[in-house]
Amino acid sequence: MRIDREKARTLLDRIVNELGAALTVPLVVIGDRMGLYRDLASSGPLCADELAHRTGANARYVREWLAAQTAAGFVDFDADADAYSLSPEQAAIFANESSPISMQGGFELAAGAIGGYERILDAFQSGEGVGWATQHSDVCSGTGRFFRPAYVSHLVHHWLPALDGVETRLRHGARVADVGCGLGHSTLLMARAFPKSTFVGFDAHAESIECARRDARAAGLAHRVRFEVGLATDFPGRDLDLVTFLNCLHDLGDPVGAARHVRASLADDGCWMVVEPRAGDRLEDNCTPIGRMFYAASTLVCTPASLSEDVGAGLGAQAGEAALRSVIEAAGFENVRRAAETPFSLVLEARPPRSIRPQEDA
Amino acid sequence: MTIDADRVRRTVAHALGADESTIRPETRLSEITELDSLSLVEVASALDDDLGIHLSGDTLSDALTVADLAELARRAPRR
Ligand SMILES: C[S@@+](CC[C@H](N)C(=O)[O-])C[C@H]1O[C@@H](n2cnc3c(N)ncnc32)[C@H](O)[C@@H]1O
Repeated sequence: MRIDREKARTLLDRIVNELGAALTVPLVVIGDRMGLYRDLASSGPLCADELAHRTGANARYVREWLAAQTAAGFVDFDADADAYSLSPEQAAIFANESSPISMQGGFELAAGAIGGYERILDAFQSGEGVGWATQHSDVCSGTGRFFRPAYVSHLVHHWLPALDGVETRLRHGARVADVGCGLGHSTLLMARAFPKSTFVGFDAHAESIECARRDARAAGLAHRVRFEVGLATDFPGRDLDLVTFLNCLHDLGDPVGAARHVRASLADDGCWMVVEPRAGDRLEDNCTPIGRMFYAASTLVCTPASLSEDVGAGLGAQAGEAALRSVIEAAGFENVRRAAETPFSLVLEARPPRSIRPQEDA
Repeated sequence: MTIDADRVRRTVAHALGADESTIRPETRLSEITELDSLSLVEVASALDDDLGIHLSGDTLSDALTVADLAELARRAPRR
């Protein structure tokens, strides 16, 4: 087949951009770790040597980094003054960890996933899984930081109030399990907002749980929030008012087993909130910038994680609502409804069937 | 200077592009606008620029209503 010159050129033009973006990923992480963005935000405009001096970084490296950042549009450069600075928008994205639009976590996650690609290459041949504990540690911390800004903006303001009657119960004092909580950012945000309720965060990954415990102590919340190593299919606790799964159902090897266990753990009038990356049901619906990002992360992180566990369902991070519902309904939940959505997230609410006391199939 | 709850109310209304007269202390931020991360950034930066109040993202996550925000603003560090 003959090559269409124009089509080839369009694709090549795009690929230059892609390679620039990919190579920028570690540079952003370096800027974060070395405090380059934070210092530019707090003390800019600065010339390259000043920034190097202030952050203890080598001046020649810093100058090259600044050139790359300026070309990327992540740092502003004033050629007349030979000085670099961050606009308020750049600062909110790169320098301010607690900003609702902080994006550093996405870069950290991407850098960790790229760094671990050889293990995934092996897994393509062996078919084996790669669990969270064996990924580069940047994958775990980056994932937590990546999702956190969305939780800051939506979890307390939007998602929990969208569940029928749940906010009122949380206000009066409810018992909540946040399953697959990772670093526990979501657990701590909920705990801050609902001081009369008690929360337990469970995750299979012991190191993540250690970090979450440290954060809980630092935030003065350790008396109401516990973090325990625990599996989605057998975490302890009965008669819970609310169980939350934030962006973890698709990572599980046995999501239906987890759904059954949630059913057995909930009070009769309890509620299960499942937050998952938003996606259409068909690949062709998800060929968007967001879908593309999630499919890539799913190939490198989520799917290998699921395949590393028993059953190995491998739902993928763009499973879509129909597939998620069928997992939830397979465990006997009724009244599954889409309670809320944002460009990145889909929030499903599931209730145990009325009157029948759930039995766990063991 | 104490932070006047009414100034917080007006600043929030303005930041979210709402008619001030429709916003009451008990109004939820999510009723004013389809609250997304950018609108929270706008609220935070308006409070910072206009009233010199610095609220972190975590604090913003807790504030459901305009009155909650005014209360947090009262306790927040000031420049
Ligand atoms: C994408 S991360 C999401 C973490 C956290 N909920 C958040 O939103 O930042 C998925 C998490 O699921 C956890 N996980 C995977 N399999 C699990 C299992 N069988 N039981 C409990 N947690 C599991 C992983 O350790 C990881 O922390």
